[in-house]
Amino acid sequence: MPAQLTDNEATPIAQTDDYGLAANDAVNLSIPSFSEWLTQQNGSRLRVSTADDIAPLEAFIASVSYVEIYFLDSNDGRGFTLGRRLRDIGFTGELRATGAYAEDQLQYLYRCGFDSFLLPPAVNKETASELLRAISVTLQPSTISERQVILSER
Amino acid sequence: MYHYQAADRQLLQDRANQFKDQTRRFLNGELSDEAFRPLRLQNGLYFQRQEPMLRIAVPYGLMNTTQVRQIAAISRRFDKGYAHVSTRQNFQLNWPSLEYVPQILEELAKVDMHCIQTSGNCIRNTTTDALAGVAHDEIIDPRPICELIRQWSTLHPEFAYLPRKFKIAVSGSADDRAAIYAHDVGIALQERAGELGCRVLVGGGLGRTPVIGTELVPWLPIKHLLSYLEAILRVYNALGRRDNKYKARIKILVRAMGIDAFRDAVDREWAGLRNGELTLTAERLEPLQKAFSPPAYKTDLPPTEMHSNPIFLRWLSRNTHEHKQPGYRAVTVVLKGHGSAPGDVTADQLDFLADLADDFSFGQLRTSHEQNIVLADVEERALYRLWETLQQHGLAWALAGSLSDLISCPGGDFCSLANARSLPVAEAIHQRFDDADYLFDLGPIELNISGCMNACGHHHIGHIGILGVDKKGREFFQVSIGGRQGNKAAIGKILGPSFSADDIPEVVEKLLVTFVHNRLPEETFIQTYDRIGITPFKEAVYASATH
Repeated sequence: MPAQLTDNEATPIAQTDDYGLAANDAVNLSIPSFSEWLTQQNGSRLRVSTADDIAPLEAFIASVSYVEIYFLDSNDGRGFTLGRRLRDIGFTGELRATGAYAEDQLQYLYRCGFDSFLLPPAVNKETASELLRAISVTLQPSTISERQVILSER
Repeated sequence: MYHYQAADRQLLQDRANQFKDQTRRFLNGELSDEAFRPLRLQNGLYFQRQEPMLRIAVPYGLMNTTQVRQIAAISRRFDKGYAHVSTRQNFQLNWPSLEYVPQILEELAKVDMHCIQTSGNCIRNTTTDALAGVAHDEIIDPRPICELIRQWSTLHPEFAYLPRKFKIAVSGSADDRAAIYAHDVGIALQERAGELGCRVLVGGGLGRTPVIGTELVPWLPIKHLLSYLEAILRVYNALGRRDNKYKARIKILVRAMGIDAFRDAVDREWAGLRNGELTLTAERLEPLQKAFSPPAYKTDLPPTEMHSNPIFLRWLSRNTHEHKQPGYRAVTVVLKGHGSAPGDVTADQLDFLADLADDFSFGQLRTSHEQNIVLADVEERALYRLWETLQQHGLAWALAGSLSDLISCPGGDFCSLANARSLPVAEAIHQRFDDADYLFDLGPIELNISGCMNACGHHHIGHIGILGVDKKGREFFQVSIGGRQGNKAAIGKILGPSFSADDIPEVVEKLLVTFVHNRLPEETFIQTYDRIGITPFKEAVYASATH
């Protein structure tokens, strides 16, 4: 759990990245954002927002081992397509969902290629594991194989 | 009809349990209103002005009689003993309490029914021609393809949080009776040199910005249908607007990009999906086609001499339809009449209709987007007996496709979106025009009423369209004419300034008088309108107001 900040007066202005996200949004600012990564084009870890066009990533995908997708709001379904696209272009590393997605979206996210989750506040690993198994059958062919899931509580 | 497999049943059971848990978490405060909203909507549950409204999916409008009787039983046990057929072929319950909804879902699952994706920003129930499989002009039965799309779209993990709702309609006939031009995606099935394929339209829709769909591809072999749909949805999900819900439908995206750029984007996406796992194989398609093979029609039926009762003959000419099987006709039971909302049907009527379907039509019935019930396979020689039975139950009164068969959304009496109460207007029109001879002589006239710009009553494509508008807190009605569905789908033109609810029957009457006055022998309302234009109608309606 991040420390509770109760005294705004005393809190220094948080460092924010180019998505306007601050470290206390449960974002790891040490990992480069997509635009930062683009200027280097050699890191193996990066953060992407649902608004990014990841087409330039394709040529480098083999060298990427970790992608974090930040959901600005739980109704923003672009992240689901983004996950599928990353897997479609051959990304095999860890794909982590962070931000404001909802716990009832966990299974859909998993089926779209996510295998790592910073869980929403107040959701523990046990609940998350149940939600990941809510529906036991799928009517779509799956292009994504069964895999280990990483769950982190806030 | 398609019979649910073990996987389909398991999915419904899991979904019912999932929603039970979600409802429990909402009721005990673990889920906020906002968090619960998309979850309940994707289970067809709206919070309305009065009690919630629950929308039950009827995939492509086809039901067996066990399902119909279960809807009747549910409406008695958990609601007020009636249900409502929507313009997208679904059933709605207007008064269920939230705490009963999980139980209703369990009861529905027992007969292979559910509320999945009947609302929310996801792929909705796929609709088709209510005469699918029996229409005399049918090229390809659309139901196997509808079922294929149902399976593909059900709990699709990628497309549950689209910018806005997404509606697909499929037609397999020369005449489009599925309104494919008014859908986000319209599919017209075709055959080329023995191969099954389709024409794909995109970006049609009614609502605030009515648009007739544009051709995306003139010919697509059927094996590519699902991967192509997936590409369309992916482009829409990635690029559709999310900042303004009134500009979030795919039609706005297509218009903003231009159809060529949109097509290019779909093709780029499709390049990675084409020939992948979604490619339709014969092994996958054939069982679906087999599930919809024709029932055991009698082939040795003697020619029928129809009863000469003139009231029966009038019903016969309007409420029954030519059938591809000689000796049979399809029958429309019109759910319109005095004292009830268009499309409303009581539990007793549902049980009665189920009995009729068992006796006359191989135990199946259909809902139509005109908010009626269709018995698709009735022997001609049984029609008089069927009509007599319908008469005894007050269900042979209204003429299909006439003014008395008008379409209306539930309006401001039930819906929190509506600007105006559409049902009293529908009722006033029913009362004004209740002379069956007059209605018959007027010929086919489609009158559609929507309580607001969301256009659930499809007013844009009514020959006469009536739209509820809010002016400084008072309800008014705007009237348009000349709209139509089908191959020549068009958006109606607005007559002029709007009217109060009380004026509407008078306005409709003036439109009809103008039509009768100008019509050539055998001309229909829409033909006369096309010939003489809007001006004579406008003059007739607004002339007296200046006196």
